[in-house]
Amino acid sequence: MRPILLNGHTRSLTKIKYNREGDLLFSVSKDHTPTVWYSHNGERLGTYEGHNGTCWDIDVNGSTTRVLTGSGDNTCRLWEALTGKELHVFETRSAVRSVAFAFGDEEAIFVTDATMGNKSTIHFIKIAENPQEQQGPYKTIIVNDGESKFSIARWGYLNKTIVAGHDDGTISIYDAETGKLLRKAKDHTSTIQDLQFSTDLSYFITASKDTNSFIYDYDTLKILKRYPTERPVNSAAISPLKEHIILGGGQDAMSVTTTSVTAGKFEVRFFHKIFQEEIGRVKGHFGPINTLAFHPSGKSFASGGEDGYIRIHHLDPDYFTFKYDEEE
Amino acid sequence: EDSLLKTKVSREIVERRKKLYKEWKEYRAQCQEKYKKDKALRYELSGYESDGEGRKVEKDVEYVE
Repeated sequence: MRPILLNGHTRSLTKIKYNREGDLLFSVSKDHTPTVWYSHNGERLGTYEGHNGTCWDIDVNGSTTRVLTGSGDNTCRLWEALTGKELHVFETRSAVRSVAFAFGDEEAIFVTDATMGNKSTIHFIKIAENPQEQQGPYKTIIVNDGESKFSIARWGYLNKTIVAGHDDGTISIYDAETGKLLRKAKDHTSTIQDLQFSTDLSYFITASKDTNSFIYDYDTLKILKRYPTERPVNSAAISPLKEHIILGGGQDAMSVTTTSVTAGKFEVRFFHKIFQEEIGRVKGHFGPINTLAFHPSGKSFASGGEDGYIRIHHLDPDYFTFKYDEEE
Repeated sequence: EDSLLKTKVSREIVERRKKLYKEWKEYRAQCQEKYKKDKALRYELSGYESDGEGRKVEKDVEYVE
């Protein structure tokens, strides 16, 4: 496996996301500059200039015409994907932690942190075809009293629900129409760092600071699979092609300088999704892995690290032919 | 004695895998049944024509020698 190193960010990566076709890779980092890259060769296509703070999340719509970014500068910004033109700035009262386009591209959500006097909130926006007519949020879901703040939110099955992860490890599912809490589960004991769906949206994987990753059934919030590790898990992704998942993490930033790279904490770990057995590790990053994404074809994956690098790994042909005897 | 133990352990692993695989296939069959009616809409919204293996993307990744 020969990785491609994408060197352009000057600070830690926070999120990477492929577009639907998989030809482009979008990234955000603590350096304030969202960036788009060609995924096949790692060439930088361009940047999105405007944020003044750490960018926490990025999403691209299905037709790769719009990009949404959320930042610690108390804004969520809408961009023209292929020109980098800023189309709209949604100003907020606190940092924007998470952003997501709805399936079909007509709507989006962004999540704001709790601050003094403001509770953590999921904001709903309608994406206007004409940017001049873009409006602000038309609806919100505010975290209930006594509940921990939202750390991530994603659209659920066919845009009917919002699946949210909380700072205390809770997973909540809300009705996207009414904002009513439909079901919740508290299996993790620390922040939900990442939440990625299977391709048919019937289950999703979580990554938590509590060192575990779980696969939940979307409909029942029952845990289907468990992947315990020894270190905080920052990101988890489900292969669209094989029965595999990948986990990335490391440890808290304060311990990074005291840990040797060879200690084996900064590797992408492959697990067999069904058997829950570790099947391989991919080395490379010089610090914790903050974000992972599978290419939509499942033939490669990308990782973004605390070291400021993105690594694109094209999987070897052997990978696609290997199967356990029991997988028949 | 060691090889007997190894055989026993490996047999247990195989049995465990078989059980997990069977359970997962049953779960997936239930999912497909449950979400069958929405399949066309789901594909339309996602822009893909398949859920997994064989899913085509416009600019597929080529293996770089």
